[in-house]
Amino acid sequence: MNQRLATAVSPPTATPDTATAPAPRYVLLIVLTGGAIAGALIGLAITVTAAGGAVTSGPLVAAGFALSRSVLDTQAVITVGMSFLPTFLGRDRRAATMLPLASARLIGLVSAAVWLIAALVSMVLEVVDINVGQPFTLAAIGQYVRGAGAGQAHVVVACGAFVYLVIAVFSRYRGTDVPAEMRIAVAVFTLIPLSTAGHAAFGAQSLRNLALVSIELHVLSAVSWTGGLVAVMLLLGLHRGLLATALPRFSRLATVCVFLTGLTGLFNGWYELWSTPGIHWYTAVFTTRYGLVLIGKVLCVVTAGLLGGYTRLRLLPRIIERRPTAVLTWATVEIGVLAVAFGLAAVLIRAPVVTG
Amino acid sequence: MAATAPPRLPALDIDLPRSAVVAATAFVLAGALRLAAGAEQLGLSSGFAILFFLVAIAQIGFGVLLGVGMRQAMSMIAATAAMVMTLILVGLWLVATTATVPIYPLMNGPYPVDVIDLATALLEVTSVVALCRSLPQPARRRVGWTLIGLVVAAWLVWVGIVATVGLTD
Repeated sequence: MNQRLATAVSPPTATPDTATAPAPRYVLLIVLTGGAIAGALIGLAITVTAAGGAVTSGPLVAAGFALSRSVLDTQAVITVGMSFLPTFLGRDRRAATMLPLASARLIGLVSAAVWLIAALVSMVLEVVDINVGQPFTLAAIGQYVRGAGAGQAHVVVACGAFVYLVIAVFSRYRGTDVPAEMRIAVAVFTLIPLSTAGHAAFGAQSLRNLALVSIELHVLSAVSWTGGLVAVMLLLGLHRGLLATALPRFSRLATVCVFLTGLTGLFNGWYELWSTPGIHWYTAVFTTRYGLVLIGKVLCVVTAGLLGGYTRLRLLPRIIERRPTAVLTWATVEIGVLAVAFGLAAVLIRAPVVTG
Repeated sequence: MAATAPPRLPALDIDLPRSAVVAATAFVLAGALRLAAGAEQLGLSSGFAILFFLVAIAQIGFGVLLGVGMRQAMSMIAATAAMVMTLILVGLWLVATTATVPIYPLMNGPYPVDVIDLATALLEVTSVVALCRSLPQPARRRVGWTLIGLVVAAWLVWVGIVATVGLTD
């Protein structure tokens, strides 16, 4: 654990702050969820008509799965972001920080609950999708959980979200805070299983392990970047003092995450196309539905990266000086673009590489 | 103008030793995986499902209490009991993966090494080491050596059993 995380468990230095904390910008949650659902629908529209495409048990199940995965991903983003917030504030424990931190605990609690439900719904839809034409039974779920890696992954995600929920409820009703590291560890740990249950688990043997590590890093960095941005802007965006404290810390994390997300995303997309037999990867980018969704996702990440770069290079110095900026507007656009990328990713994890 | 007292803070971060935070985190994560293992056992073996659920509740509960710095969870007796119970669980898993255990659902050989089980065992060992490190001296040394003695004794007993009756009988 690094020194920055350690500050979250240090005794707080209480200093009075007469400034009242502004209300959270809940519209950002709507932008995040709406963007992810829009991205999933765009991705579905591209892949659903492909021959032998993503649809195996009817468009309703395919759409339901993509939407539930979008919701699952956005809730993971929110939960991870809310877990990171105390580390962005560091030792700063003015009275004004108490309301954002309490709000972060409450939002984290709700998002963990939705994360848990979305994981279970996603698992049920996968079972329906696999057992096409067969009646849906609890035994089928049991078989799926015991027999498929993705089934096990869904159960671990549900259990991880449940544990986070327990921690969040306990800390809320007891009135004390559990260490930020603990919440970050549980939230991040819960992200990992499903990321390794997609295409990367079934690709070419030679680079499979590298692809698995790459997809894990991709998910961790993308979720940390988006989640951190949502948490900072949602709860601190209208408070110049707290934003000047938290944004530089978040910005350092985000810079690493932007490059990591881009590089690992490019590698994962290339690997999936390269490991598909019968087609050259460079032609598959433009001739397959998978390739088109991939291009859309790359454009989203590049756009969000440029927006993040503008915030870091142009707006951050003014924010540190506590001068007025349009950072919330820029961040809202960045979150919306990233949310669309998450929606596209929810489709991409199951979309096969087929031409036409 | 008289200085005003700082307002009472409604929620505070806790000044826990880092090893206690690591132990608490490892306990709750191991509990989450035990919960997943229990869910897998549903419809296969109700006895093991219940056992895994009970262990999961104990691990998550202890981890959360340790994480919020509850005195009772950090007492010597509770910490030692948690460490011994955890080591017993790891020991049982090691035995089950190296030999046929009659009460296990799989009767035709050692229990397969599953990723979830392996991760759980690693987290449990981490939690024991971290919890032991969080104890104050000289109790840490005393408890640490006692646990090492127990592990060595259990291993010798197991070697004796294997040498006498064979690995799979």
